[in-house]
Amino acid sequence: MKRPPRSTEPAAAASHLGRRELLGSAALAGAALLGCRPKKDPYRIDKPPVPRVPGWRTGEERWVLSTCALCEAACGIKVRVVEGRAVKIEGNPEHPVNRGGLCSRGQAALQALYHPERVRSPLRRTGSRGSGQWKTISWDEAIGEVTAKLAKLRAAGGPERLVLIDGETGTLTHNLWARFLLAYGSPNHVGMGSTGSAAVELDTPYRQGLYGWRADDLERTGLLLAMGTDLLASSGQAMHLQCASRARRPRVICVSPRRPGCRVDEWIPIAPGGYGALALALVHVLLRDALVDSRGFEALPGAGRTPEETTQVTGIPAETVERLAHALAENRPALVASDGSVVAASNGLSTAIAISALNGLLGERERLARVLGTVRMAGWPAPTVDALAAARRAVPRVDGAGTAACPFGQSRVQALPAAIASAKPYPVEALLVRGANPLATLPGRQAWAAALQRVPFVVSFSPWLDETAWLADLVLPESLFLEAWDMVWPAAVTDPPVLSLRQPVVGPVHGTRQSGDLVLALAAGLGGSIGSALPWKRQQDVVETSFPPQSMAAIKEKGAGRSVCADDENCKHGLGEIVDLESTTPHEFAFFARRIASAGTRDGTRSSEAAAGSGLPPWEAPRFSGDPLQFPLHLVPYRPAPFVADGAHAFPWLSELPLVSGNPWPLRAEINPADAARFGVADGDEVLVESSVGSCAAVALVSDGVRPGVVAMALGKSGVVDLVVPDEDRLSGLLAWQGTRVRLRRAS
Amino acid sequence: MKRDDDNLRDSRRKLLAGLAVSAAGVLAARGRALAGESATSDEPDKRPRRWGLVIDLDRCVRCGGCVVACQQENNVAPLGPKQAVRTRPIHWMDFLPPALGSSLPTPIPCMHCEDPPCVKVCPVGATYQSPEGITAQIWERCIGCRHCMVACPYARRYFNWSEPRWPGDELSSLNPDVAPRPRGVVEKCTLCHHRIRAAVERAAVDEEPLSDEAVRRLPACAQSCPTQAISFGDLSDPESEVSRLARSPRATRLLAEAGTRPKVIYLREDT
Repeated sequence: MKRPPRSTEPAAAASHLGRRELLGSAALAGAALLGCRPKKDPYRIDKPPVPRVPGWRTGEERWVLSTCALCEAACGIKVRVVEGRAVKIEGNPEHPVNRGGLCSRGQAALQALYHPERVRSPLRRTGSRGSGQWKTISWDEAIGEVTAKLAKLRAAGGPERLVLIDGETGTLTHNLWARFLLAYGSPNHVGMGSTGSAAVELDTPYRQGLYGWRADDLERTGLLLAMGTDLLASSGQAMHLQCASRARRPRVICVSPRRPGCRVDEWIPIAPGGYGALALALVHVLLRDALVDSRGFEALPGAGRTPEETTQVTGIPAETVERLAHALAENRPALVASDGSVVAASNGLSTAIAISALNGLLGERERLARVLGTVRMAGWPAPTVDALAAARRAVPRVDGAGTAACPFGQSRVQALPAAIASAKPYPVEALLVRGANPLATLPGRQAWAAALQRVPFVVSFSPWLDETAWLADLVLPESLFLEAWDMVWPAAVTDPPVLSLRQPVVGPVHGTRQSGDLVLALAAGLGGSIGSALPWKRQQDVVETSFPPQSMAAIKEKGAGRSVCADDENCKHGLGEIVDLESTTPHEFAFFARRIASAGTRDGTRSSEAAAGSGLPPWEAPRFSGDPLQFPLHLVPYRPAPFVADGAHAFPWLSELPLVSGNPWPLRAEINPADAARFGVADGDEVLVESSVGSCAAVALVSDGVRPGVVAMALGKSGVVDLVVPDEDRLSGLLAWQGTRVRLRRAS
Repeated sequence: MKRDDDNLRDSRRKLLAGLAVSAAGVLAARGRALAGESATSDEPDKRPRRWGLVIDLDRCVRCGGCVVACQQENNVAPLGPKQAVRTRPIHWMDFLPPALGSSLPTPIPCMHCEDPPCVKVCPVGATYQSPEGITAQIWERCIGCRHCMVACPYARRYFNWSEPRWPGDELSSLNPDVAPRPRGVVEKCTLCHHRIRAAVERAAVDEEPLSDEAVRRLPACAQSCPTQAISFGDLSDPESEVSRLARSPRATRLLAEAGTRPKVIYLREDT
């Protein structure tokens, strides 16, 4: 684009012309008069190239509404686009989730969009796995190759041998992939979402028998007992909590091994895995002192656990527990909220039950926390499932979720390496990985690498050539969220629940494609019942036609909105809707019992827990991996405020956030001064943290914000996951992130 | 002989010093003109504006949104791990160790002191106090002597030890309203001066006074804050939100004893 040359011609005439056209024509006329071609303007500034933006004008400025994708909160964003370049991301003030604010992750997303290491086109591996030899291929070639493999697998009668690892939940794209697997005939849609979402999944359906949003009315809460390291640091809840006006803000007491990143009224340090024991001790005091109405709670298992008995597990003095119980009773309505780190232990399900019981006993949970709604894609045509797909969908999942091995699990991604290695219950022939990098973000890197080597066909949809993509046969780079269409249902608490629109802010910066377009292309390529189950041409069409038009208009205008069609005309045409669960289902507090007692597993067996009388599995003490004599400390991995699950390297600003003093880049091992003295470590020393499965170097951060006996380390930087032993809670299938013992010494 | 020499040297020094001072004055005045600020306020009957920030440490959740929002808005490049070892990365909005009775990091922008020590030491008039109270700097004029960095009691000034790097297409995401700074130049928080000018001009075009509501979240840090812990406004207007918050019993200033009279006011944690 050339700057208009300067001209001294009067700009009075030709009022129908714009200033630009006028100046341009004047210059041309001038040039014609002089009888020469216009010379190159010596003052011309060559602007940096605008990647793949066909039409833009000098000085053009637009604002585009969309939805952030860097955590499950799904904040509304407003992106400033100048001359085709996205130059600033801001919070959307009209969005009910974030009301104009935006944390560091969303602010830094443009770095990822324009990052030089993005994969620019599909790649095919040419050398051996992991050799790093790639050949650029066309999209038609890449999609043709995947569909050919998948068609062959299906023709051989084994569609269940296709596994999809999916790092995304709560979006239209996720639903498209789920439908693809349904029509294809594989039960193996393995979720790799955050433990935070897993905690909600564990909490809500088993207690209230419903899947859907849960909203805690924090502004009405008198006392909030916040459990876990992440609740007040990296989850959307922290924002809601602090947004409540000062007068109505609840008293906040935080229970976690590490002091939270924001201000609380009191911090009670707790030993990892001790949350359930604390909840039971609180229940005991509440019942003993008759502080609450105890009708129906007499048979509660573990209610006889006194604070003195639990001190061993929780590390909290009995008098503190007594005081806390009385505070809960006096500051009504009181609410106990927990995050993923609470249930990410070997006793995850029983911990969730204990906390659930405490909330039920306080009696306010039903009124403060509501299950609000869920999204049904009613508008989609009924999926066409052929006989083969119907038959193979019914076989047990390869990760064991829903079988006797893991009766209450939704997904059990950590079980995949062993299942692939042993080829039981059946071998995995094709593995698709999207929105996830299990090799680097899950423990057991060696096992994952070995498992990937055993799968004959691995496809990564990662926008980065990350550790998992490195071992794939094909890399089909997905567009980033700033370049894609989608509809998102935020996991963070919003009341009422909303749908949030994601639309391209700029065109694809490189030759990448939207995930939705890819799944539609695969379905079209496979054809038959799969093609007719996903009849759309483009992801944009799916987004624009899945919801009632009048709802869509409002959603497009504000960036987010409701789509409820109870008796609406559109419901007859069967469009997508938010089903308001609150109005359709009476509230009940089931204590998991009803659900667990009636839980039949996918393979037809009934769990021994359900068979045993009360239906409630007893509370159990946490299990830790590693010899306590050799490994005297507990590892506490936590999600820091700028935590990005996937592709953290693409956000250097987040790595450089000065949230710890000094150089923010290296990994920190946060320890208590007492432990520092015990192991002869000073603040700033280079240390080595070792567990029974791995070790990693870090810089010591000596702080009284960490409980004695633990090492707190931020997830998101490489090294921490290598320390974690991939143990799990057998019942819920949750990975026991908090169940590893470590030792620490100065690096020599 | 020797005495004459000394006298000569003294008088020369005085002359040069006088020249430098007057030159600095002229340059500063020109700087103001260049920056598009009138010497007086838009409305003659009102006191000149004194822009300031109020940061509520009770509300702040230490998410770092303000830090990154500032970097994106003001074209501050990340330095990377190697540079970060040798010198501190540039953060106009930064986190310093816990202060003011809190146990958590302190979010800290430039204090925009009423009596700024950094302005007094600048030998070339590159940094100056604007009529609206912003401690501003003209990047082009900075010679990189770093006197201002030594003078600032809050360490709110940063030196560009290297040329800013924008690998790949990242140059595309630069804000066209803010000039990036080259190597060898000191830089600092401008209180998003370009946004203030735009708001003032917009109000002038609409022939409406610039309202307090319109500017409360004007700088990038205040705008991004998810908990609205940062407020911006005119401290000379007793009705503005910042003035109201500044009268709070929780209001305090960093290093008040240094006598710099900062226009960034902190609200202590509620106890």
